[in-house]
Order: sequence, then C-alpha cells, then structure tokens
Amino acid sequence: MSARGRRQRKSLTVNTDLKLMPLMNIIIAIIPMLLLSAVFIEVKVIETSLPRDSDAATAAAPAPETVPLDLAVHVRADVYVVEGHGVGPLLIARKPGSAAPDSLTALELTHVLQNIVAAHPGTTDIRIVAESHTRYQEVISLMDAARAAGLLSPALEGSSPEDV
Amino acid sequence: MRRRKRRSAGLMAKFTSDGGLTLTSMMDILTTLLFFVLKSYISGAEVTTPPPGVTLPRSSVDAGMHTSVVIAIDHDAIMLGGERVATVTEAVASHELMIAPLAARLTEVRAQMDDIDRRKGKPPATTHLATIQGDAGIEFRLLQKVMYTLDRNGFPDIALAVLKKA
Repeated sequence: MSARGRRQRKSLTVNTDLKLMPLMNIIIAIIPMLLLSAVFIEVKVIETSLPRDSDAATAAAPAPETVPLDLAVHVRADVYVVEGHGVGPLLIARKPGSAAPDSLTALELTHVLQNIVAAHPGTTDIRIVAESHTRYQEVISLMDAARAAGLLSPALEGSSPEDV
Repeated sequence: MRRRKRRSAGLMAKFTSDGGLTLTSMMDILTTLLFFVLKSYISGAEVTTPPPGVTLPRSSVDAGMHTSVVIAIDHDAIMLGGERVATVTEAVASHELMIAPLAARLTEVRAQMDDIDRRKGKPPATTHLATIQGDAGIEFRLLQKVMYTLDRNGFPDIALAVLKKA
C-alpha cells in the first residue's frame, strides 16, 4: 500500500513552471527590430511665412492710422542691424563669415529686442532680412532670438532682389 | 545501507535542479523594455528622419511636425518626398525665383491630394502644408527660392524642420 501510494503521488506531480522560452525568443527578436527602426532625434518645426513682396503689400494694404513699427533685423557682413519706425538703427557686432551667432551675440540681440518689445507692447512681428549667402542655421538662430524676445511671428525676407 | 542510499538520493534531489533557467526576472526586464520602446513610437504625433546627408539646423522651438509634403535640401539636390527633382547648382544659377522642375512636381502632388480629397467626399483644400528639411549649411537664397516655389504652387503654409536643442 505504501509503495503504491508513493508511486501514485509521484505520478501526479505536475511541473507548474511556465514555458517562457518561446515568448523570450519573440521578445528578443522584436526589441532589436524596434530599436533599429526607432527615431531618437526630435524633429520640430518652425512655422513661417514667405519673404514678402513689400511693394505689393504696400499697394494692397489700406493706409494705417498709425505708422507700424515694422521691426527688422538686417544681416550685414560684420553687423546685425535692428531697426524699425522710431527704433534704431541699433548695431550688434557679427563675426564675419560665421555660420551662426554665438551665444553671447544671440543673448545681446534677444536683450535688444526685449527692450523694443517692452517699449512697444503688442508687437509680435519682426522681419529677418538675410543676405543671399547667409547660412540657414544663422537664419534659424536669429528667429530663435526673436522668439525668445516675445516676437512670435518672425518672417523671412531677402535683403534685395538682385542678390537672389 | 539501503537507508544511506535513500538519504543520499534525497540530498541529491534537494541540491540539484532540473537544468532550466530562471527566466522570470529576465522576462520582466524585456517586457518593460518592450513597453518603453512601443511607447516611444506612440507618443510622437508625426515621426520623421532627415534624409542622409542633411544636417538640420538646431533650434529651441517646441512645435511638433504635422503630416505634410516634405522637401529636403542638401548641398547637391532638392528632393520632394525622397525623389530628386532639381539640383542645387541649377536652382542657384537660375535668375528666376521659381524652380521650374520643383514647381512641376508640386503641381502633380497637389493634383493628387485634391483627387484624394474628392474621393473622400471633401472639397479640395485651398492651401496645403509643406515642410522644408534643409541642411544647416545651405544659403538663404536657395531657401528663399524653394519657399517662393512652394507658395506659388499651392503650398503657402511652410514649416521649417529643425532639431531640438538639448
């Protein structure tokens, strides 16, 4: 009886461990595949407007009661010129041939623009007037400086049609 | 003698395993990793990678991408949706603001988009969005020409793709 009972107990023992190997194999295959196709670079966008045709805009728009500020940052060979109606021209040194303004120059530009915005509340528009050879990174950096000063609608413009 | 044998068999059973690995903790790690990777896919509204050879400029802007027509500009070519449509040399050398090959391709793309809208029963959109993925080193005159061509061919809403500054 005792030997038979032991045999029965032995035969009823069930291995309750989960068979995880197939699942492991699937996950091990999926993870590298997902990691390879994953995008870890954060791409953002700046919504902007076309370099405007100033003559057409002037002709189409009705004459305003007050003269608009028409704030602009001009990129020159060795200087950034900030000007508008009743503003400036204020000059900020630019390293000739640089691909983008350094952090100090950008900070100075932001500070100048902040002062202008403080003096003219409600101003959100600014034109970035770039030269034909100005690098794209520099244009983006100038737009960043303008946005940091609260000028949320930077528009791009070429310095003169002859340059294009 | 028999008792000794039985005792040693019991000890063996106690100290030896069946040879299987303990995978539960490994599974926990892998499952967490899997969910993390899947979440990184789902969290972004629109995911894109700049084409090879294009280094996007860096900016502090925080607006995400929307579904749009993508124009990539590197130092050699202007590409629309991965298809090379014009060369930078030709575009820069031309005295026209309009880049003709790009304009022709944009017209086709807009016609396709309008057709899709019609099939969906929606009126064709009057304006379309285009995203420019330009290399940080390109000149402004090239960017200006591409923007002008986009505007004149039904894509006046323009977004400039940038990399988020750390």
